Amino acid sequence: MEMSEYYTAVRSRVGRETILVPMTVAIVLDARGAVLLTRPSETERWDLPGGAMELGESVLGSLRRCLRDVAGVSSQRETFLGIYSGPAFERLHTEGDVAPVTMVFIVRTTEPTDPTTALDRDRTPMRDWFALDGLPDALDPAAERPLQDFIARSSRAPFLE
Amino acid sequence: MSDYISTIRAHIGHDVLMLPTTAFVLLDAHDRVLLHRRSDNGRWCCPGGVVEVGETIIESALRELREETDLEAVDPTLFGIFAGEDFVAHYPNGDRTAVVQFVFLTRSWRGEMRLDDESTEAEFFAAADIPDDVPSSHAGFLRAIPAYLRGELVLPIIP
Repeated sequence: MEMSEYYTAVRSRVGRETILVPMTVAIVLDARGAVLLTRPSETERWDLPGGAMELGESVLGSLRRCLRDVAGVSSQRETFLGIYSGPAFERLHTEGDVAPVTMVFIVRTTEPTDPTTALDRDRTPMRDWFALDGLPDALDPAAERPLQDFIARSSRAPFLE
Repeated sequence: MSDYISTIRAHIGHDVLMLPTTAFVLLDAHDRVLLHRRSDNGRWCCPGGVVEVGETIIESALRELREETDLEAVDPTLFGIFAGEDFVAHYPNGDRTAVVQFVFLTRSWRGEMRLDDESTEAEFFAAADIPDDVPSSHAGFLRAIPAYLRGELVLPIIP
């Protein structure tokens, strides 16, 4: 997941203190029901597309910006899945720990997402579609819980984990 | 002040700090909303506060409600998540914050209300008669309550 300008600015001043980071991410599904996952590079884990909120953004404003920037998906209709926060989701980073407060949405798209779309190559992670029963082993733990909840679901939504 | 705010403010001073916060809407049998008057600035607001590192959002909301009113919410639902330009605040001491406000709602709770020293009084207000001088982090969602009570809104409200 993409960190924000806000995060970078705070991190540069607080040393290794844990920072609370509101994030917006989505389970993006295509017409066949496959899910879109991203990863920063071949050696890292697959994650849900999304990123950290910037100052002054609404929740949906942030989600739509993140999906456009990191996944090339233009989202207009979102269903809320849940909030994932607390110690189970804290991430240890070399530069200091992050306590994400992640708001997860379901986005259905019919647009083909062409991996060669002209996105900013330096910032755009690798992207691929996966069947829900064929998720990659190298899946980020932060993506695992919402995906499990979505698969098991959805009568209990929203999830408040 | 919350541990998280003091820890981060020690490094960033008055600069803008993004804060996940919670607020609890308690609705009584007459569809009235519980507000309490804060001791520090005299303004009415919902029980709630700043999320700390190490707790989930719902745990934080329940903790603040317990600390401030001694009440235990039963079966809370997510009312909405509010953020954006209207939730950026500038305090008299120079601190700036950008709040992401997680609002929960319940019609059922356990316990006898007992206020802590963060507030001086508490009262149930009709949704149409909420005081005007509520904090900027509250105005948006409190205004949505009458429409919710008329059945015009689907929860959670996430603009």
